[in-house]
Amino acid sequence: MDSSGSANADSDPHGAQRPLSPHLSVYRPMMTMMMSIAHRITGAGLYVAMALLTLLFIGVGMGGAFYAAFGWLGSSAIGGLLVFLITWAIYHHLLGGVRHFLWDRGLYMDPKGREALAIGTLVGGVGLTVLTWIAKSLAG
Amino acid sequence: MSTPTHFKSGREGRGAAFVADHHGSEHARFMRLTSYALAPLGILAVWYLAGVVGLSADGVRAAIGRPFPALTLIAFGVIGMIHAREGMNEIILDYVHDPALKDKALRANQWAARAIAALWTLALMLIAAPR
Amino acid sequence: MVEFTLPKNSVIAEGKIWPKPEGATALREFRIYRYNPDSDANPRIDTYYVDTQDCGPMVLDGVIWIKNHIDPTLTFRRSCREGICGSCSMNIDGVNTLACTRGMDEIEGVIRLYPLPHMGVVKDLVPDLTIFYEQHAAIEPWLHAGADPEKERLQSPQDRAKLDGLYECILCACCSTSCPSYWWNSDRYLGPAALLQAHRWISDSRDEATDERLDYVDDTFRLYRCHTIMNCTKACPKHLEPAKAIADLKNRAIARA
Repeated sequence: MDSSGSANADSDPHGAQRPLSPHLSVYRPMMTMMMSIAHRITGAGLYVAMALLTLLFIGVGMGGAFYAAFGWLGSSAIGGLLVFLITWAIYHHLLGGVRHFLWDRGLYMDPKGREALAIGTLVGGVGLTVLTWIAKSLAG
Repeated sequence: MSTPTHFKSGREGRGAAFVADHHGSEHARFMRLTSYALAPLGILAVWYLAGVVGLSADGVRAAIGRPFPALTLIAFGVIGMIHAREGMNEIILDYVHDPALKDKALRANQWAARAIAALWTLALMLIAAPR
Repeated sequence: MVEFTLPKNSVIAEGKIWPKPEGATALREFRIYRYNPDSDANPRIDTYYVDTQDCGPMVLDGVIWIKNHIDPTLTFRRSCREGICGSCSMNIDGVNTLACTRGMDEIEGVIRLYPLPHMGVVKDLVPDLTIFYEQHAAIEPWLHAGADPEKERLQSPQDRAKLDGLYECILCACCSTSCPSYWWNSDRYLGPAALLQAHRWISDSRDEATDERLDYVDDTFRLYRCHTIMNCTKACPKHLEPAKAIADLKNRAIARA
């Protein structure tokens, strides 16, 4: 089918020049699709986050100039905010993984189930993050 | 080009060529297995990470320098970066279509993931080392 | 790199606002994607007003009304008007579905119509489905079995039931063209519709090519561009579950890897 193909695109001079119909810009944003995108963004974000945290740990481990360069990632307010976001991304991505674990087994794919899982990912991720930080501050 | 005009079926004729790369299944199984390990490790990692914010260098060492937190974080970092490397490969395959650029991106990803995992491990060993 | 935005020749311009039908009391506003291959102009969005008192209840009725009463150049595919031919699939109110089974009253406000997403546009609401059909052909959607038997090939009711939810596909392309992964990689990813059909033949007790079929789909691109985004299952106007079929294909492929 590679070469024999259809008469359509081969004989039709418009084939390659056809306009592309709109896609991302017109498709209705839906919870399941948004959570899929969020899964990818948090995943890629955690890749970068691991690099940043590596710098922080190198700073702490080596001390001296290294700590002066990278210590702010742990000690400053911006660093704190970054770590907060990283913990949220871990939870969100983790719950996204649970969603995929269930869907991979064909579970909760029905209209109610799939929406519940998508919303659960979002709410659960935020909820667990907040709970963890509250617990941590209470634990001292 | 964003609008392909033909599907590359990989078949030479009717039923003649059932040629597939068979890597997809390995990858999928790999992602599933690593995620089983990462789920508990991730929760512990969040707990330790939330604990180092606002601390001095000595404070961080005291918080995660003990054997259990340090080993947990090392395991999280190493397994996590293997998982992240595979995930980033998927992103590259999805979005980078130019063969030469794709090849470069895949190789850069291999080395970046290895470097992060290695430095992460080294840094945590330094933190946990007696001084 | 994949393009997330539209190429230059595909950017949509403002179109014409067609006059409201005279004497109509209950109007419905339609904004419809227009593209004429015989002109150099970019695609545009035209606005039409449909007299719903004079028109059937479905979106397809509205489009036919426009063609009959306002603008005979408006081009779209349609045939059965009852959800079995799969011709009038399009992007309606942001979701792919059949114009003949989507009621106008199910949509709030303006009714926006686009061709199926990320496809070459032949004219107006007619996409080029060449690739889609090539994908269907690639999974060889026919029975693979030995030489013709003396008697018919029997199938138990239980085995026959395994094909329910699979054979009903009408090849409307709503699912495949709703899938972002298909948008970016349709030259190598089979897409939900073709994979549902692959699963249909793999599930058929009479088919003897199960291993070869699995072997063919077990590929980084053909099967594994599916990232379980779920748009396919949500879009299917026949309420089939391509995502579930694909999940099963993956599990079977992983089990034999």
